Amino acid sequence: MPVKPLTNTENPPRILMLVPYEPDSDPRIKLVAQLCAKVGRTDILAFVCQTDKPLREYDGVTYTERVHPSHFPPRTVLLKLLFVFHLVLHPTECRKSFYIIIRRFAHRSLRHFSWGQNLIVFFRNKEANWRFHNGFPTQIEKRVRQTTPTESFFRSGRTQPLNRSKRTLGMFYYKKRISQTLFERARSSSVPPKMIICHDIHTLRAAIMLKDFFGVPVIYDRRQPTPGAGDPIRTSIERKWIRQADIVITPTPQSGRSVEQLYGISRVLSIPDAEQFEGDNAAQPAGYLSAIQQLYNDRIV
Amino acid sequence: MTAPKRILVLYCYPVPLSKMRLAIKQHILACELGGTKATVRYHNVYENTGRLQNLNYDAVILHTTFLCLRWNPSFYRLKWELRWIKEMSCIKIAIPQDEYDHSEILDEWMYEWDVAVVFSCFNHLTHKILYPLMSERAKFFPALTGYVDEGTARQLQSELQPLEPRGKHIIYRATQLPYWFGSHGQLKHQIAGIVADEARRKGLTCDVSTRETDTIVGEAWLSFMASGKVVIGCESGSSVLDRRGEIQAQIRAMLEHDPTLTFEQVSLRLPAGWDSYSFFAISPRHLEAVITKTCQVLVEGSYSGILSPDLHYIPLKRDFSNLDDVLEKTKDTRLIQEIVGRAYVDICLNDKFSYRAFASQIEQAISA
Repeated sequence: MPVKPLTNTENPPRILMLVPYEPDSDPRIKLVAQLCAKVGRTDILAFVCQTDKPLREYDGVTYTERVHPSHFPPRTVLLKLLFVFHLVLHPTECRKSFYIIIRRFAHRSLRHFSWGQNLIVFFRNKEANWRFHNGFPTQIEKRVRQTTPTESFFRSGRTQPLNRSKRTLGMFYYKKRISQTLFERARSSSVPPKMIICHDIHTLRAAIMLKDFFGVPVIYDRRQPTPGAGDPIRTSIERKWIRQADIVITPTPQSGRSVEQLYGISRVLSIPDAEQFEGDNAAQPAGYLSAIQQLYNDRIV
Repeated sequence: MTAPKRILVLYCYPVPLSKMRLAIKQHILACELGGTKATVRYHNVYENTGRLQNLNYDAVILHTTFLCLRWNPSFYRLKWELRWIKEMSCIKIAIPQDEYDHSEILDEWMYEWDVAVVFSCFNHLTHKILYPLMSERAKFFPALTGYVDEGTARQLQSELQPLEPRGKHIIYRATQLPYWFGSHGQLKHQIAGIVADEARRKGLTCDVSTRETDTIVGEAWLSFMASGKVVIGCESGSSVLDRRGEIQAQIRAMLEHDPTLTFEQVSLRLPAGWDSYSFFAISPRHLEAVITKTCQVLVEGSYSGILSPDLHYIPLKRDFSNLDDVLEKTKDTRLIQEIVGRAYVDICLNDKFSYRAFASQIEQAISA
């Protein structure tokens, strides 16, 4: 069925793509974005900690935003306590100076520009020194105190690989951070999406949470070639969320069959990786496009 | 007899009202200065984004400073915290400025929050470009970036020095705007250097600065405006349409890589036509110059149709080719007195440009 390209004025709803890493580093993201652009306005939200690319890119149809976790700092225990304190004390018209002082303190501490700002600075400094691969930390920039104080006082620029325990801890930390950051950013979009495409397991949780929030279909573009191959953590995470995805896309038919068998799901499409779409195989993404069109058009009615 | 309307004004500013720039303070207090009969409550969301206890209002005004949140890096988080405003059922009125900056985000935000009335600084021809969604949906009223506060103008008249004994010949303050405001943004500080150099060469006394440290805030601003015979300037606004902050992001990335890049070098690396828009409007400082009876030397422009060249200001060509003639004209005290007097009568004594007119427009919008 031919689909008329949509403009912002004619039809504000749009396609939302969630990417857990730098979108320019993956040709498949570019390809899917091009396919989505044929259907309607596409917003790409990418979780990026370090980049030399512009934080926002926009050509009128495809909008790419690199979301830094510091813009969505996690609420600390102290903030939560202060919030409870604030809720308890705020309704009471207490005249005692002690309570007024405490209340004022709670109010001031809750100011996003004071507390939030400190948190932002804290996380920016903390996360700026990590090296990432596929959204997970693999290396950390070594901080070495220089013998002579220079501009780069604590940063020598040397990097070292993370050991296994740090990598595992980092994986758990970033798994939550990626999905939470992308979810928080996407849920406050002014124009709700009509369809969500999530790339890789790290954004699957966010996509399913957004599916519940907006009531829109989800396409899960799954990358790992063979599921369950010596990766029980990944499998258990995936099992929890994958059944709620409306369509699962895998790069090979073999991995598609494995996904169907392992998780007991049926709506699996196999679309080859972007590199294979060049030359004679340029028409290959038709399957992907029709999947997008199908879900998108179902929602129009 | 009907009860007075209750209006909630939401603004966002890091300092209290007493320490604000005069123009911003007056703009926030517009309803009060305009003598509205409504009960007005002001709430600074900078201090607390939490839900207000009493949300029983007839109208909510989203002030310019509040709508400036759209270019905050944490905008989407803050918008989520402020979603209680969206849930308010009363009429929502937006008074945006710098509408060319993150215009699409502003448009979508107002669309989401169901804003019914927009006070825009730009004419209806630009609404389709700036507000693709809202142009079909909301009621648009023309607005200025600032108005004449009649009380302040009256009070100033007794304190104003005549032009002749004023110690400084040319005065000007401006901040050096970043590249993403385009060539027009650059003009605001270029004019300072070019005019001041030439004026000093001609032996005229100047108090011209674009340094951040020389910024004048609060009541001292009007004293500064009244301390010179001539003030220079140009229209406010930008020659760039930055829909979602993508131009700003691109320029920031370029400068991070090479901080020594000039505006021309940056311009060459951006898509053709990025700097070809004309979102220009009169600035509050032009009205402040009128009430302090200071003659204006301004770069040619429309000034929202309020100021006319040779009648209300001495026009300076955009390429500064008539700078010599202009500086000669500023030495003619009789001429500048005539210009100043005419501007005062046509603008300051004209109700159309007062906060009273603005407040009545707001009341009209609420009642409609």
